[in-house]
Amino acid sequence: MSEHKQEWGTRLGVILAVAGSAVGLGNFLRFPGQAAQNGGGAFMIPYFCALIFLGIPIGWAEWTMGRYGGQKGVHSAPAVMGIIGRGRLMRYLGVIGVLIPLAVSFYYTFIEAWCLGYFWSYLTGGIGVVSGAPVAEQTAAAAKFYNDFTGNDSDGVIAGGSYATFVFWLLTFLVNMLLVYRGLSKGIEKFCSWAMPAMAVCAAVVLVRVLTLGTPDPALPEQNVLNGLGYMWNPNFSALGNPQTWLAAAGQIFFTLSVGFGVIINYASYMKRKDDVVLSGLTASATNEVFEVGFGGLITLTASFVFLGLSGTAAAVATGTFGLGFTTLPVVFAHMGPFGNLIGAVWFFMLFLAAITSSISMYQPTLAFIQEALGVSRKTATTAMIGVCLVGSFMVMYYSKGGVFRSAIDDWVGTFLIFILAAVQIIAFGWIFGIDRGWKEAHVGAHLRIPGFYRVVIKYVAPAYLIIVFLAFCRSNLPTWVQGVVDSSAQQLALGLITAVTLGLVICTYVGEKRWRAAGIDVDDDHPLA
Amino acid sequence: MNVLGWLFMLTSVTGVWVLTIWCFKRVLAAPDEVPEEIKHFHNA
Repeated sequence: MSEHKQEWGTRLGVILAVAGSAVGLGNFLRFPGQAAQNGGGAFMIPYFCALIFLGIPIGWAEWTMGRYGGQKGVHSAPAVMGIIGRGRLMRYLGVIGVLIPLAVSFYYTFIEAWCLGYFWSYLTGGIGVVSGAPVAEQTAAAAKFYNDFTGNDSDGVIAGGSYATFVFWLLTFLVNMLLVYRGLSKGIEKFCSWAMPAMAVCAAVVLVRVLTLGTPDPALPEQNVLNGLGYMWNPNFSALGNPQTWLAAAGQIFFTLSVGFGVIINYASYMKRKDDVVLSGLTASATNEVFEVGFGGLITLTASFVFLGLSGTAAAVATGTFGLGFTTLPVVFAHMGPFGNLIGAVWFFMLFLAAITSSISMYQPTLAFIQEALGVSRKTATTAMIGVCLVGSFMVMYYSKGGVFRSAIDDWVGTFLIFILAAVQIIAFGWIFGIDRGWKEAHVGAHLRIPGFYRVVIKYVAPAYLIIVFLAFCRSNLPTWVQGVVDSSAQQLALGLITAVTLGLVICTYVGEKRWRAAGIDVDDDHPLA
Repeated sequence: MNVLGWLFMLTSVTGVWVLTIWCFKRVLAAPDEVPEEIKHFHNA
């Protein structure tokens, strides 16, 4: 298993890689919409509560568990969870930690290809939204480009002749595979070390442009930057009395930090015994918040409000992440005059960087799992992973109509299972591994002491908070989701794909467990590290 | 934008920037060896 030995080059490298994994399209597109719909500035109260009592402690637990598992010689979620949870049940529940990043990568790389395609289109003349045309015409043009490019109108985007989409997807996929194959230090870490600062520069460029828009149309003086910021930030305290607001805030924190995703546990497993996890975990979370609150909270809706006004922005928010990002903002860029295409190119390049730093983190856990479960080389594992990903990605691309197929994967794996994995992880850490051991383990090599009240938070508050949010989430979403599966053959197919992948991962875990035991790995943590 | 809007925006944005800069300063200044106070804490 000597080929498996990989490690991070620098402590900054692992922080940027984890932050890169967390920063994604949701930071710029989902967060502002959630905030505006749930109390504006007042949304930040439940948002920061969820960050402090849910996101950060679960993150610390994941970092600690991953590093502990790595010291035992394993890097995949099933093996690490088996060690932390001291048995077979947790080992098989750990399969979710491979399933989530793998299944999400099926559609995430496709969306990443849209960003690359939009970037290229803006660089070479725009997407056909005519500057100066009525807003309705511009919106129709943006929607047409989106529908054609993503295959939103009909299944079979490739067979239908949209070769550009396929070419951009292929390019995106190959770059991902190349970066992952190059390994942690030479591939992922090196790439994130320049991509994260580059993303920040792009965001700063767009932010400066948006904040200096002033009042572009003197005939509509109310459509100005300050009112745009007000649309996002003016607090509506009555929203705090609505449980939906607290649920939305917890959900947003949960998904933005990538906790319960299976990535942190894998990344942290490549750290050395004395490497800090406390300050690193906090820094990665804080970096994600800068991109979300500091950039996403100031750019997206402000730009939309200045050009489309209150009703246009409210309608854009209602269309959700993709509508806002790929249909509304192109209309906004068309209003920006001669620099509109340039700002559009910078914006979509930034989204592409945000997406690719996340997607490369989704492949690494699968690669590590195949390698250590089947005992194969990195080359063989990469080939096997490419095979699985090609099947999944082709299905997502083929069944593109209305995004139903990819939404089913996003709902059941990218949302539902994340709650489950996070709950499993925090319970395993606080209750089975034990808060005393976990606390001590987290502070090995730590450059920061965790405040004492987090012992209570990790053991009681976070699991209770998580379970309440999960139950409320199920209550509001599950009936619709289940009905969706009953009614839609595309969703049934998506669930079939998820089931097949899960089965494969379970079989690999069974084989892996035998191999790990034979190799003398302490799979049930019978001999705890001192 | 009203006064409370300014308050929430400035507090939130400043807060995340200050935390991030503070974290990165500590990361970049952190020695390879574990600080003494943490060692004592760990041993306790």
